[in-house]
Amino acid sequence: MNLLLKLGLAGFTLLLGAALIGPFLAPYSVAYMDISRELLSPGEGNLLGTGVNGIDVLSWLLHGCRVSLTVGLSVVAVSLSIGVTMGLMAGYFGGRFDYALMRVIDVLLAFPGILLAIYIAAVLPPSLTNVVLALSATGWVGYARLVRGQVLQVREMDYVQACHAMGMKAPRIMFRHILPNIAGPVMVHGSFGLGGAILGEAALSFLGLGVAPGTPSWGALLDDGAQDLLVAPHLAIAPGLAILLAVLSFNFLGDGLRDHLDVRS
Amino acid sequence: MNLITGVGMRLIARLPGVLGVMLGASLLVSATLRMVPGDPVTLILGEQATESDRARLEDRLGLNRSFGEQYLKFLGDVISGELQSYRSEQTVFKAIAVALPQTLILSILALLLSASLGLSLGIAAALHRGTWIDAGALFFASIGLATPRIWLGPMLLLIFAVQFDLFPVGGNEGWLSLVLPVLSLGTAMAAMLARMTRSSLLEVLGMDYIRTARAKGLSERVVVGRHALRNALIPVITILGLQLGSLLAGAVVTEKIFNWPGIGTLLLKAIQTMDFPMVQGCILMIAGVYVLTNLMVDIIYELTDPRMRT
Repeated sequence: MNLLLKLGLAGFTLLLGAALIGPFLAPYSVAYMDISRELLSPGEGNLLGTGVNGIDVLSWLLHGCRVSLTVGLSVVAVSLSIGVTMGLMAGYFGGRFDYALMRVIDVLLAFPGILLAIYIAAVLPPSLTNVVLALSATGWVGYARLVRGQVLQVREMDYVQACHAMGMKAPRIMFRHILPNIAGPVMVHGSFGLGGAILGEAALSFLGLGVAPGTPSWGALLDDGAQDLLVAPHLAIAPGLAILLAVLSFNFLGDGLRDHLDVRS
Repeated sequence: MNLITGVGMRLIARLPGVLGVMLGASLLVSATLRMVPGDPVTLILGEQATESDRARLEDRLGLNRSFGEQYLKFLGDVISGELQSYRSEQTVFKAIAVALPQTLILSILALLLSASLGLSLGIAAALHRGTWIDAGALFFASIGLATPRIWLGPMLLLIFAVQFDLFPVGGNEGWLSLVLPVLSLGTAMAAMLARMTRSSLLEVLGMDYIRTARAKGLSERVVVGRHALRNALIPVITILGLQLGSLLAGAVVTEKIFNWPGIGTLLLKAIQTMDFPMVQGCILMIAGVYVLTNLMVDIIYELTDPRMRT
C-alpha cells in the first residue's frame, strides 16, 4: 500500500468516525441557540466560538460532517449505479441505445461544472434529497463515459467471447464478467467523486440552494462566516478547513488507489 | 486548403451538432422549470390579485397553453432576444449583455493566471523530479485542488482586504478589484494544470525520440524546449480551453463572494426573486458560451495538430 492510499484511508476513517460518533461527542445539539452569545470568538464554553444566533460552531461542524458524508456517499452511490449501468449497456449493445445515450450526455455536458446542479437546486425546494438529486443529475455522466470506453476495450477479448460461446445472457456477462474487470477505474473515479460531491454540496449550501435552513452544513456555515467576515473571522475559517481536509483525503484516496491498482487515466 | 476555408468548412460540419445540443439544453431547462412548486402568476402578482388580472397575465405569459406551445414560444423569445423578465421591464437579453462581459473579464484573466502559473510549476516540477521544487509544486497542487473556492475567496478577503487593506472588499472599483477574485477563481485550475503538465512532460521525457535527441548531442534546452514541451503540452492546452467553461460556472460562486456585477450575481439575484425567465436566460447563456468555446478549441486543435488532419 502506498503512502497516498494510507493517508487517504486514514482521512476517510477519521471522517467516518466523526460522522458516526461526532454528534454524540458534540457539546451542544444542532437546535441549541443563545442569541445573547452571538458571533463570539473561540474561547471558554465554545471551543471554536459561536455563530449566527449563538450556535456552537464545533457542534455544527461535527453534525455537519455527517451531512457532508451522507451527501457525498449518496451522490456517488446514485451516480455510480446509474452511470455504470448506462455505460455497460451503451458499450455492450452499441447501436441505437448507445447513440441516444451519447446525445443525452452531449446535452448534459453543455452545462459546465455545477451549473445544472445550481439550476435544479434553485427550482426545487431546499432539502438533502434534492441536493443529492441536483448533484447526481450530471454526476452519472462521468461514470457512464468511463465505463462505456472500458467496455469497448474489453468487449472483443477472449473471456467475453467465451461467455458468448457458453450461451450466457447479456446481463450476466455485463455485471458478472465485464464489470469486475473494469472496477479499478470506476473505484478511482468514485473516490474523486466523493470529494467533488462534498465540494458541490458546500457550494450549493453556500449559495443558499443546498440543505434546508437549520440543517448543519459546512457550506451554510461558511456562508454565515463570509457575511460576517469583519465581525467574526473565526466563523469562516473552521468550516473551510473541514471541507479542505475532507476533499484532500478523498483526492489522496483516489490518487493512492490509482497507483495501487495501476490504473492509467 | 487555406486557413479560412479550413475553419469555415469545419464550422459548417459541426453546426448541426452544436444546434442540436443547444436545442436539447433549452428543452431541458424548460422542462425542469415545470418542477417548480407554485405558479408564476401568483409569484408575479401576489396573493391578492383579482381573477381578471390573473387571467390576463396567464394569457400574456402563455401559461394556459400546452407545454409544446409554451416551449416554442420560449424558444422564439430566446432567439429573438425578447425573453421578458418577471421582475423588471428589461428584457433578459439586455440584462445579460451588461453582466456577461464582467464575467468574461474575470474568467479570461483567471484562465491566463492559471495557465502561466500551472504550466511553469508543472514544467519546473517535471524537470527537477524528486527535488524540493517538485515536492513544493505537488504540495501546492494537492492543496490547491482541494481548497474550496467558497473558502479561498473569504480568506483572501480577510488577509489582503481586511488585515492589510491592499484591495477593495468587493464590487468593481477599477483594476485593483480584479486581483482577489481572479486569484480565487484561478487557483484550483492552476493546481490542476500543474499536475497535468508535470505528468505529461514526465511521460514524454521517457520516450525514445527524446533519447534519440539527447544521443544526437542536442543541448538540453533544445531537447526540452523544442522536442519534449511541444508534445507534452498538446493535452494540457486542450484541457485549458475546455476549462474556460468550468471557470464560468465557478464565477457564480466567486461573484457572490466579491459582490462582482457579472452574470453569476445576476443569476443568483434572479433565483432569489424567482425571476425564472432571467434564471433560464443566464443558464442558457453560460451553456452557449461554453459550447462555443469547446467548438473553437476543437477546431484550433484539428488545425494545429498534424495527426488530427484528414
